[in-house]
Amino acid sequence: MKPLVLNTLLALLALALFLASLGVGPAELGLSESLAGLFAGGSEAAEIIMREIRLPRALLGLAIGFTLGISGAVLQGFLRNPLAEPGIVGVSAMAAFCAVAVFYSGLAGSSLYALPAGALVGALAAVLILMALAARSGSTLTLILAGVALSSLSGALTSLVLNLSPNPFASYEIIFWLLGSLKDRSMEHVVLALPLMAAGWLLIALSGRAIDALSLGEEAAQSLGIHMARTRLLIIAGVALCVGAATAVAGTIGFVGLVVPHLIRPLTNRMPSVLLLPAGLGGAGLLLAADIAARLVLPAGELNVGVLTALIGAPFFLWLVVRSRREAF
Amino acid sequence: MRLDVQDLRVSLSGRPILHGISLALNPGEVVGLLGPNGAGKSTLMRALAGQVAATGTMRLDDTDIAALSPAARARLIAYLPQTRIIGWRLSVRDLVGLGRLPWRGYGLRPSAEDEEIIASALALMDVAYLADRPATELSGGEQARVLAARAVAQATPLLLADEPASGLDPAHQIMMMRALRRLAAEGRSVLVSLHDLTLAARWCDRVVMLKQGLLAAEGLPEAVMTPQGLAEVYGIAAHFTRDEGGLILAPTGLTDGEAGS
Repeated sequence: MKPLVLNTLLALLALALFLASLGVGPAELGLSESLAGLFAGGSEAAEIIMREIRLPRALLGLAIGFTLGISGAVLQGFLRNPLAEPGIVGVSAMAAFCAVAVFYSGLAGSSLYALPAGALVGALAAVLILMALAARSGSTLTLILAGVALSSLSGALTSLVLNLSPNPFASYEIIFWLLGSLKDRSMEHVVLALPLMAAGWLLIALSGRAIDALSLGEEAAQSLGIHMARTRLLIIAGVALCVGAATAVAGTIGFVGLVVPHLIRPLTNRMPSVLLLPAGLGGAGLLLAADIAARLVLPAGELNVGVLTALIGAPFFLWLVVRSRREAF
Repeated sequence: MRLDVQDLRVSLSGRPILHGISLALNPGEVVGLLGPNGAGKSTLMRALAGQVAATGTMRLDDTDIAALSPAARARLIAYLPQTRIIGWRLSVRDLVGLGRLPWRGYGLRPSAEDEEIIASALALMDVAYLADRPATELSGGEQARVLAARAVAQATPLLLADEPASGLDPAHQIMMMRALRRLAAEGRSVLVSLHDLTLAARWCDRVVMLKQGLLAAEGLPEAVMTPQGLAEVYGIAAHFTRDEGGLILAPTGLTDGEAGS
């Protein structure tokens, strides 16, 4: 498929799901009521529901989905490895742990920015560790093992904090980061995270040429004029910024970055740079869809969207591992 | 452009690999780089390609190679690594098109000129009929030729090819050497490392033999690839014959007297 056609279709899909996301919730608002609440003139209740509950939720679904999709695509391209993804390789888990640590230590109370800053530092540390361990060898095994180690370590540390947490309220907050969710987010969260995510997307987009050349390995890429140190820095900073910011406001949402590039790659010419934008748009669509499903499946209790993506994504991951032993991507 | 290398020294992780190599390549020349495994052939190429730190001088005409930015270097020197890596199921045409990256603005589609250069690189390496196939699904020999076409498409005055003929069937080995000769006939310089002595003797204008990081011999194939020369560099005895195309060398044994004629 031509990239323009593909991107247009995926953008329309994401837009449709964005609008659908605005229409879903426990308060039964009709279409006209919703629109009126969103733009102007509706009842006060409808206005509050639309502008302060559903709009931030849908916006975050869009932006975080885009982040996860594009991060998965760039990590796969850079590491020349179809199994790379911020969730699997431990970036999200590390970001979540650092956010939890900031929360637990009480620093979160001191400043609105302390918590996202913690998540960013965690994401940055995780990407640095991964690059150091896995970028050189390019081996799937090294990457997955490093990711498993990072995820387990972050998971264990988060559990430790959970264990030590002083009261049920604190535990509940910590579990939120572990499970990942878009509920009860405010416009403040959007304002906080969106600029960071957008900066990350930009850095990732700048690495497109390099990840194309890296299809032929590091030596060939260098001979094509790719500055490896600069490329590594771009991607580390880009992924850490957008995944860190996403995790800071929504916790760990796994597998979107794995599933989406895989579903979309066959629709492209498979050039890593060509995949970036469609993977972002597809990620936005998938996360919005998952978030809608999370609200519809259990209307009363409400499923955490991170749980849902993991339920879909983990078996998919297993299938990929089995398949990757047989064929090239 | 003329490549002039003086006293090139390279150390990797503190261990000296090249101990002062000097050599020159003229435009239109195919120079064979010979030597046993571990002699420093690949390291020499990687140093010229700017991928390992080196001391000494490396010049292309008046340009100091070491001072070039990666982007500027990519327009002067193409390097075909020995390790053949194809990361994704790219079509052969798209893969060879990566050779045009140094000449293209980011995000821009290949120009008509790019397309023309890609097509001629595909034809030169005898892979034009594979252009729309996924490169990952080709045989090893086909992949080797596709990757070589990528380096050719870079359209640089200097091409460094690290064992481009290894793993190819005899017909395609000859085709590969003929292709390198054609590039030289267009005025490019080609430095090619080879393990096949006959290919080197018959297709290279000159050969450079390395041994343990030192230049062991350099000159016309007839002058350098002598029984004494091969014994000294490789530790082998060989059977020598000759026809109108040049030398034919068949290694027959080791010089410590195990076998041989």
